[in-house]
Amino acid sequence: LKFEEIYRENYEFVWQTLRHMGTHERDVQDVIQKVFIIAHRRLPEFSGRSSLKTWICGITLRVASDYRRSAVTRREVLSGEEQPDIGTEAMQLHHLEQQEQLSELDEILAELPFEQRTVFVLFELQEMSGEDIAKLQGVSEGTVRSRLRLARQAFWREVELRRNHMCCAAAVGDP
Amino acid sequence: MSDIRRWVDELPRDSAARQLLVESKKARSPQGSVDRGWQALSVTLGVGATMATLTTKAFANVVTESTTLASTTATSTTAASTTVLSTGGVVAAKATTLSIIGLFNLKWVSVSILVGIGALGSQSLITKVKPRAYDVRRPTTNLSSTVSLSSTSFSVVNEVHPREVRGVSEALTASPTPPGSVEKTDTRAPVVVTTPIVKASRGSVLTKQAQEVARVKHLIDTGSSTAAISRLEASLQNNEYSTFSEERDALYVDALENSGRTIQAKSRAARFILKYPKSPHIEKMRKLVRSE
Repeated sequence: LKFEEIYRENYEFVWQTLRHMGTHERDVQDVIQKVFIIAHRRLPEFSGRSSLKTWICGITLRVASDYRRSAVTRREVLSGEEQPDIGTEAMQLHHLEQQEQLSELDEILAELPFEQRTVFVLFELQEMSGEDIAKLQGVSEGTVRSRLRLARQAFWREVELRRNHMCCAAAVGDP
Repeated sequence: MSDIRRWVDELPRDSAARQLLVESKKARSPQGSVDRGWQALSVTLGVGATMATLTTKAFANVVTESTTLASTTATSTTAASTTVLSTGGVVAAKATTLSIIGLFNLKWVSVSILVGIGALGSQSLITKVKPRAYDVRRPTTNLSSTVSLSSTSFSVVNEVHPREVRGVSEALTASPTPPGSVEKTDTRAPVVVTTPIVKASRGSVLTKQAQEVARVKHLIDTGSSTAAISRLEASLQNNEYSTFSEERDALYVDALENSGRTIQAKSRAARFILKYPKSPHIEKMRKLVRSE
């Protein structure tokens, strides 16, 4: 398998994982580059004990974790920043709606502890197996199950809270 | 975990949590970003990125067994040198590129081995040869169009310090000059391609943000709501850290409303009310949320 094939086959997975783990769209390309540079450097160490996707996911999570801690997340946005090339108006609309949803999801997931968020994203959104997640996090499957349960509860609570707030906000000022 | 079903399959169909999960799962990267990303990555990594391959363990074992430093074929010698050099950790990436180049000429092979040995210093080479799942195979033929194999370029590589091997490969790859015309100046260290992080003083940031808000307002006033939305989109990602976030949010609602996206505008307006309850725009937002 050529590295380019590895890159292309896993790009979407890495992109989604990073976005769901809180990487800002503005930075996601840079962070993806970082993931694949590390993957390229460490490819000789890949022993095949896990799938390539799981191995790359491990790198992605570590990079995402570093990103969260780094000052990049607190960097000021300068106006006139390069806009992503998103083509036609229909595509722009779709892109914007997607941004809205991802932004809302991010705000909700940001309320979860990082470990719970990781389990939730990998199991519910990336559809990875519990076994792979346990290996990635170096914990038992029982721990993964427990974190997932807590994450689901918190996610549900947060979504309902936000929906209620939206309804209240809409009703404010009503005669 | 196999007994746990995905939550999305268990949640009520009309629940907000399910809808959000389903929509989020559909999120895809912007069109063309894969290709753009690969181009940037290729430049950053150099020739090695396009040449590196992942093989099965069985293939790796065969390659390793058949490779010795005394091997006479270019392919096996290159594989051996790559495997040996890969034990050198960081050196591996640098030597791999040169080893690939060596595929084309035995002289190159010997040079790559010598460079590798030089870089490894006193480390034992042959005793560290181990089978790996990763190895370097014969590159595709289009390499010859990008990498110069003439004696001129040979002398260039010969003068380079082992630490700069990777730099040479990148310089050769990136060089616009035709094969055989690579000059000594190409041996300089590679320029790492990264997205620059613009640093600006607080004052200039504020000025630019204010100018941007004014620009967006002008676009809305002149009926270019779509263009305004496009401009606002990036800024809206960073609400909490922007001085003019309130103004921008209000403008975003205006732009959405003007462009006919009423549902989205109402949704945004509701969020605006929650976020800025004391805003001077609050009445306008309430009116919009209440409107039919």
